[in-house]
Amino acid sequence: MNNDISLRRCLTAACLFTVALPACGDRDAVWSAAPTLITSHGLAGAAAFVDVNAGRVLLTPVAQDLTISPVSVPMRRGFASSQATPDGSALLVLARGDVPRQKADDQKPGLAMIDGGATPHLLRTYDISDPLSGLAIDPEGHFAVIYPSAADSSFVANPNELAIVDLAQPPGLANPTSLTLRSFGGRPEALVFTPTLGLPGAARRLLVVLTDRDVGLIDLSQPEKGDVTVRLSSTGDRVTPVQVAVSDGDPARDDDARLAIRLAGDPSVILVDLVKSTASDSLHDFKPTPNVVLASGPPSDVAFVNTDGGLRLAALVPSKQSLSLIDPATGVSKDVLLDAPYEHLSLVTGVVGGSASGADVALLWSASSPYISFVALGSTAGKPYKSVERLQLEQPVARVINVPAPNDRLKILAAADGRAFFVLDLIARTASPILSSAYGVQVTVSADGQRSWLLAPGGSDLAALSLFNLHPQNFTLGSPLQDAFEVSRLGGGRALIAVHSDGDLGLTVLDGEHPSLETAVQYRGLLLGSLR
Amino acid sequence: MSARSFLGAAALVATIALPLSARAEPPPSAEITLKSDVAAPRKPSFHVPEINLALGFRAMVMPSAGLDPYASDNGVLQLSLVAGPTLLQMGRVSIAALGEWNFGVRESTARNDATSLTLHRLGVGLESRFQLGSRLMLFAKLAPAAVNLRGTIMDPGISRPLVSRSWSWALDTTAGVGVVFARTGSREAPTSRFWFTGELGYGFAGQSDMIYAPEADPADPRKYGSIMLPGLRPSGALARLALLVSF
Repeated sequence: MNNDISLRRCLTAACLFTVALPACGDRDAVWSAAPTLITSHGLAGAAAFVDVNAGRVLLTPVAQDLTISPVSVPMRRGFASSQATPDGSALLVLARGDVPRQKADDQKPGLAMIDGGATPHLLRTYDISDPLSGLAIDPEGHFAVIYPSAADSSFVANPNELAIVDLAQPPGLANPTSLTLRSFGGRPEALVFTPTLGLPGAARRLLVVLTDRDVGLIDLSQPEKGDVTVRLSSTGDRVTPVQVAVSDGDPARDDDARLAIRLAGDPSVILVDLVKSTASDSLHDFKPTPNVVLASGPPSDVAFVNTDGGLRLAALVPSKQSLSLIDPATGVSKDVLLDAPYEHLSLVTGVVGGSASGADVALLWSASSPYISFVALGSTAGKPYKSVERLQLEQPVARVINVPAPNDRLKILAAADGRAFFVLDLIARTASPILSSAYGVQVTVSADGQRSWLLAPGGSDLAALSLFNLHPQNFTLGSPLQDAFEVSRLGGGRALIAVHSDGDLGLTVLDGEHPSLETAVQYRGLLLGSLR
Repeated sequence: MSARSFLGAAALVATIALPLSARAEPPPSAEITLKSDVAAPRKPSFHVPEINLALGFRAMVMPSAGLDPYASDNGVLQLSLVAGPTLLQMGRVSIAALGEWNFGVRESTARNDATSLTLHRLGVGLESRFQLGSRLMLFAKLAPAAVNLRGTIMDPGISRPLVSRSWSWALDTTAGVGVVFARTGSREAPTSRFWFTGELGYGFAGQSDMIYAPEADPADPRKYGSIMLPGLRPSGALARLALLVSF
């Protein structure tokens, strides 16, 4: 009897042990992380997906056979922002790290630089001192600036603190460079990187920081010297800078570089001459000398242009339907009367060619008027311009998309409804309409300038538009789309990565040069793949 | 030598050595039986070949990261069916051959997608038994097997599941105890015996790549690429409880 009881107890214990045995251990938390908060980017050789909840960046380089080999690059916690460099050679991912840091192994804030080529990998990570969220990237891809944004909510914060990262140099004690802008009560609102300017001492680039009341100039070759503040009002009236135009002047001179600062709702434009500093106590070898010039009304866009009479500041004044041409040396202004309230201008001299004297040609467009104009800024008797050539479109232009060579004579003009597009030939002066059956169509142009891709987010249609003959090829991919990125393929050639918005990240990969659904490869559930 | 390798080697040595050492012992004599009628084990008496059929559960702890998409813990419970003959009897030692099928399913969610993993383990093996008494035996077992893994993921972006199918090798090295809880026929010459068996050990296995693509559909001519989830190695400590009938 006792033996039977013991046997039953042993059996019960054995059963409990066997049943309980599998309940050991725990799985990695990433498998319980929702596949949300995905930010996608197109890079030179891959599409990149910032998978915040999984703490990684997933990159998808494409092979010759259109298959992808996903690569997962871990990123620091506290994702703040991500941006691709303008040439797509790298992806920058800014993370705040662990806030607050309480343990020695808690992560610091940092800016990760990930190679955007066909073999993606982490290039380096720059530690930064404070958990900031704003990220601005130099159009030339050489510098990044980290600054406080509205998303930062520390108990105490200095809104004028910047960290400047030289992306060409490895991390070090002097890289990034942290500095605090000299402030007269303002805080940074926008950052502008200038091209290389011939400044006293040496040619270099400047970072122009627009605050809500003044402008700071930072020498990017020596950011540790701090900024030079340009105060925009001497009377105490608050003016807000909204745009900066830059001119290097005569390339042979180092004392004629200029900035033009457009102010919000103000006909005044501040011209800042960057001349040699003579003050012995100045850290900088250049000195900004501001002057005020007046346009015929509050300008909507400004740019330095070359005319037959020399350098001028062109200021578009939609309220007067005019283009003010202001001599920066004298402040004298001459107006070109236009026939529409143009709001934006772009110089197209490099494509269409200037006059014999080097005068520029400007393209003008408007978001409120269905006209575009080419203004040749030469001069004829009694007029400060040579000609104004107008084209009428069906709709106003909301956005102008540049096309790289070999089709850089083209620009794609997008209407506000995202349904109508016009392929503007700058040389032939024609505007070919391209119409979509859907609204809100997104357009991307391939880096080789040979085609553009059109898709309507949420729809499953995709079109490739040849920029040689404007022939559209339509594809229905069967699943809703949200993005499309054209990338280089491993071993040569191009591929289009169409990103689907349903499920856990689906992709359709098409041959970029000869797109066809017969050769396309579909992927599903990518956010579950390549996890640790 | 790693712990796993050590355990495996130990189990293997035990499996091979147990019959040899038992064979070196003198066979139980009639005199001893007469002198110690209660304590000494009776000489088992069953016909050879005896058929063994077992039904039970095989529980395994798989610390492989490859299990994470399909389970919130590291365990896999499987149904276990075993059958085979006792090939040889030498005194209190017998050797049985076996064929076994283990079947288990785990279901979970991975990043909000429903997932499942189905394991089939088809194996053969040799079991060496040492009879301690009429109701008790110890045994050691070596069982190589082939493991089939079938994983599925329900991605909301496609109407059919993403599927992964793969095969891997496996080797179970276990030892355990069996207790007779019922028999038919006489005690000295039973015609059938009913055992409760429990065993512990370690299962070795090769890693399987878990490569997923949508399940084939003749109505969908599109070409699909695959994604790779962490490789799964169905190995780890294991326990098995079974009801065994020998006849």
